Amino acid sequence: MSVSVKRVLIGNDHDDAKWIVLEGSIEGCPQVTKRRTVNTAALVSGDLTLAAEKAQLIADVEEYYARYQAVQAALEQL
Amino acid sequence: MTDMMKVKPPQFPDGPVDGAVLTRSLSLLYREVFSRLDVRYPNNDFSSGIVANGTGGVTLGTAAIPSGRIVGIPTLVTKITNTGTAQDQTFLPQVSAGNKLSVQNILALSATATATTATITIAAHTNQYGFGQTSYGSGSISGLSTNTLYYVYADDPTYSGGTVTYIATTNPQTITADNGRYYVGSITTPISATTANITGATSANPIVFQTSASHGWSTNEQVTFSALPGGFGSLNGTTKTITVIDTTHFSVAVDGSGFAAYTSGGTATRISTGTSGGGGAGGGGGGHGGILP
Repeated sequence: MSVSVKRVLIGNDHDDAKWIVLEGSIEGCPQVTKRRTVNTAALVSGDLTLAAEKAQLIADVEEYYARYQAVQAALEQL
Repeated sequence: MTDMMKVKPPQFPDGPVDGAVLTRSLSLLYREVFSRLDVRYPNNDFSSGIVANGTGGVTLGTAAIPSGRIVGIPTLVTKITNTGTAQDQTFLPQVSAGNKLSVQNILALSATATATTATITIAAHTNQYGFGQTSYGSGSISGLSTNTLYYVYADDPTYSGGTVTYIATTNPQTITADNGRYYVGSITTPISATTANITGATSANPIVFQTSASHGWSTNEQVTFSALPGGFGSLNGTTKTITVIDTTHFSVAVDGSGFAAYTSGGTATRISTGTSGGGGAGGGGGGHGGILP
C-alpha cells in the first residue's frame, strides 16, 4: 500500500494561482481519496511548506485507509 | 396529418385535354394541397397545434404536445412568465418551495490553528436532496488566517459528490457566484496559539504576570503555564483563564500571596481551541441546513 500524491487543478487561473490542491489516493481504494487545499500565500510566506503539507495529506490518507481496512476485516467476521 | 404524397391528382379522360378544364382541375388540386398546409385554414390537419396569430406569426395550440408528454406546450408554459422566470412557487417541487432545499447529515466543518495559520477540516458527509442523496468525501484547507470567519464551498454542478476540491473564502458572495457551487458551511478559525515569555509575577491575589513583549491576548482567553520558578511553579502545566490588564500584563484568579518573590523564567501559551462550523447547503433556517450567519 502506498499513497500517491498529485496536484489537481481547479480549472481557472485565479483559483489555481491562489490555491494548490493536492490529492492523495491509494490505488484500488477510492474511498480514502482526500484532497488538501493549500493557500499558496502561506507557502510563499514560509508559514507552511509543501513537503509538510504533502506529508500531512499522506498521513491523513493512511489513517483513513487503516480505518477502511479495519471495517473490511470486521465485515468478514459477520 | 395528411400525407400529401397520397393526395390524388385530378383524372383526365384519354384524348385531347381542354385547356380550361385542365386549368380548373389543377387549381382545385393546388387549393386542396395548400389549404391543408396553411395555418390560417381552420380545417387543416394541424389547426389546433399551430395557429395563425393574425400578425404574420403563429401560435402553438393545445395540440402541440411534446413527445412523451401528455400536456400541451401552452399549458406547460403558463408556469413561465414573459421574462423567463417562474410564474409562482408551484413551479418548484414542494420540497424546495415549502421545505429546505437540502440538509447535511452532520456539521462537517472543524478548524484548528497553530501560531501562524489555521486549517479547516471538512468531514465526509451526505447531503439529502428531494431527488436523493449526494455524498462528499473529506478534505482540508490549510494556510488560512486565524480567528477569521470563512465560508467553505466546492464546485459540483452535476451533483456527483465524491472527492471534491474544497475552497474557503471570506467573501460570502463568492459562495453563490457560480451555478454549480455547493455551499458546505461557515466557520470561524481559532485564535492562534502564541507563547509569551514571563518576566515578572506578583505574589498577590490575583497573581499579575508581566510579559517580555506585547502578548496580544484578550480577557477570558486561556493560557497554559510552564517553567515558572518557585511557588509559581505550581501553575506549570495548568490552564487558567486570564484577565488582560494591558498589553504586557494579565492576571489569573490564583492566590499567590504565599509564594516567594518571583525570580525569573517561565512562559505562558495561549490555547487555541478548535472550532466547529455551521452547516451550509439547504434553504430555510434551523437544523443543519441553513442560511448564512
